[in-house]
Amino acid sequence: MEFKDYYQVLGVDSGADSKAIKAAYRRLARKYHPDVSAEDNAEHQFKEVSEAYEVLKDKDKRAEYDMLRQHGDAGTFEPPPGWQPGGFQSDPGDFQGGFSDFFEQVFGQSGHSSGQGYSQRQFVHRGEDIELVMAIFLEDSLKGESQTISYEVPSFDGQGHLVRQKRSLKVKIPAGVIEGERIRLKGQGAPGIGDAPDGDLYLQIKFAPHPMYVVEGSSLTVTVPVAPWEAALGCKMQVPTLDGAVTVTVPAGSQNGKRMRVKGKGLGKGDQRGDLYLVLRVVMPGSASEKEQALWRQLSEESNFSPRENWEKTG
Amino acid sequence: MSETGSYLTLTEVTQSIRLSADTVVTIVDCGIVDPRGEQPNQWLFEPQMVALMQRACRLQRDLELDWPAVALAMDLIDDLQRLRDENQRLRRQLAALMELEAGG
Repeated sequence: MEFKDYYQVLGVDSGADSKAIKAAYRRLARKYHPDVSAEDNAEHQFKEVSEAYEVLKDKDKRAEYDMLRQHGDAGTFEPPPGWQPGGFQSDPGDFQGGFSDFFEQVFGQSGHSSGQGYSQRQFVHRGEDIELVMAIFLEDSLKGESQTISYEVPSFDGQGHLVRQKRSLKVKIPAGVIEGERIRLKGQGAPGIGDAPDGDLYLQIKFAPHPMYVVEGSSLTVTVPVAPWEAALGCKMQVPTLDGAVTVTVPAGSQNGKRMRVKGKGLGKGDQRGDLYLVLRVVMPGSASEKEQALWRQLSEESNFSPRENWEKTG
Repeated sequence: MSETGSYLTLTEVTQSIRLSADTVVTIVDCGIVDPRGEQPNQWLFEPQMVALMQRACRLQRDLELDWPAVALAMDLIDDLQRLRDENQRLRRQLAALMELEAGG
């Protein structure tokens, strides 16, 4: 087992006083807290930091750790023969996984915390809630489809060992869900211990990125390429929506970037249903034949349109 | 097929995230979540609020904050998330425009 240098984790020297240790912990906790940090390995880093602080903030644990540290060379670690893990109360928090094996070896598994009501080992307690992210396609969000999900729940076997139990469940996704919504499935979390009730399962809805639509709440936006003459003369066109194509009329003289609303073709349900926005994008043809060039030329001679009028005024 | 419970009572919340009722009252007082109902015994929490309260508790405990500071941090995290989402959305919109430009 690897020896953990808690002083190094907190970036303090071994003689640091409790004030310095607290300050170092607070600084690192703010940096790596998974609820705040955008760093990839924030959760792992935060666990390391809080494990180190758990030991170094406590006078007795720190003394015990310092003794071991004198034995431990930086590489592997075995507790000295006859080492009895102390019956310390510690709070591994509610992030999954708890503290490291090293911590368990030194300070023991028994009596993990009852601080702040995060008690881990009681004979009767309600099963843990489980939270999963469920990715769904935009198309499926409207229909109220069923989807089968698989997940693991922590539970105790006959001998009281913690095991991970596989489960799968058919879930009906409520029609009209939008991103970030949480669906609560009562009693589908970890089983309760003793007579306590089972925990709940929470599914957080996340949309798979769509090649065409950009999502904002219950609104959808799609960029619609149009030819210059379509924007100039107006046109009727078929626009794909989540429930099939609709015909849209682009008015004559439409400007590049014009936004048009197709009511009720966004996400959501019933009168909560959002809208679909079309953003026109005038696209030039790639190459022009001689005849086309002649037509452009004719237009340029005919038109007195000056797109840089404002420049002329200010200049 | 499984039962979908939409709202949680105060008792369910305290069991679910193992908090004292007093703490939940403090969290509501700070405006971190706003349950339906007037009196604590009439409160109804949306599932979303449970996750927010859990986050609030983690911040309070791990960063050793007082509750008003937790409320402030939550607001700022919220703003940050909103801006990140908006940024991502605008980037995607921009990418769609650039793509057309490149392809056209």
